[in-house]
Amino acid sequence: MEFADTVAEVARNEDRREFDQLVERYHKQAYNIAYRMAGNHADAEDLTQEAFIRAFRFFGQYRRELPFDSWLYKIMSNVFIDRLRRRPKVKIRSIDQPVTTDEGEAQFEIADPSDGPEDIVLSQEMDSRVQAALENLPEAFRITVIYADIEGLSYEEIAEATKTNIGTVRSRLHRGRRLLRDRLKKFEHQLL
Amino acid sequence: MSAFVDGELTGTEMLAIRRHIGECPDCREEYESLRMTKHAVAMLRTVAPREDFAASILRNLDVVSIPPYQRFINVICKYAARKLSPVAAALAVSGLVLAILAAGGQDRVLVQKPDVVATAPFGMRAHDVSFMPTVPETPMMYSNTRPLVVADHAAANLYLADFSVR
Repeated sequence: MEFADTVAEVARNEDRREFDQLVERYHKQAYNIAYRMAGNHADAEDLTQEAFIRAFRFFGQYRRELPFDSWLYKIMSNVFIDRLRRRPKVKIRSIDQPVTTDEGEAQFEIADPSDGPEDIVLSQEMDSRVQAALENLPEAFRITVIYADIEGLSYEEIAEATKTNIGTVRSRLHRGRRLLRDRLKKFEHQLL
Repeated sequence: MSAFVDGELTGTEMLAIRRHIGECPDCREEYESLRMTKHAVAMLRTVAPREDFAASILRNLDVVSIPPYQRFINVICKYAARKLSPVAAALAVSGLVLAILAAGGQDRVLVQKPDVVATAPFGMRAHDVSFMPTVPETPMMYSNTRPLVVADHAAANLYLADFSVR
């Protein structure tokens, strides 16, 4: 029994060292995706943390010949959907996002000591609009669009990460992009 | 059309759609709008976490407790995957899980044994057999049942218990 415990301990330490390196390497990428899914920093942190913890629990089942990020995205999609199902219907809103009012969209006015050139401001505005449009997509469409257009995953990789088939990925992506396009139509001149 | 924008069609399909877009203004407009939408999402700035975020994840990992059975499965999966091909590893792990489940599934199922088995033709009593269905409320309840195989431990024999015979 002692021998078995020692073997398990050695394996655990070895796994932990390997996993720590993967955290260092992928946490920024994972956080960016989590932010685009969740729409604010607090939820993005929670989502990333939970995805890494779940990945660590099942790390022995990770097939080393496959890219770690694809496997992590699969876990992250599950965590994201689980959290949406669990959470109350209260939306945490980022100060980066525009607020929808009866008179249209408004932005939080917070003084920024590091004011940049006009094009940076315009780019940030556009960023907020695209993010807001993303958040209005149904979750399955949002995840698919993020994986395809931000992470550049192939349809096959997205199907694997979201546990579905390529036909569904194709359909979700098309419908998601059309919804996004309709929402962003009035800013079309700024898109390029 | 989105699959065309992503280059996820076969060569023949890509060529056919490209040719069609050249001739059809509506489809060309649809293509341009989807391409711009993809571009808008792709151009989103990369959002960085706080500086100590990786350290925070690692601190949380320190307190993660993995149940022993999960650790055991992880170790087996890891070493099986290293030594065997993916298919063989999957088969080995499935076999192991089945073996564990089978070993754990040997619990005796307690069946309530009636004192008297109605009027079964061979007149057996419940304590003589390893399995016996619940005694019917009325003999007619079993009128359409098929004969059951019942083991008699004392005589080391199997009997057919036909409850339809009254």
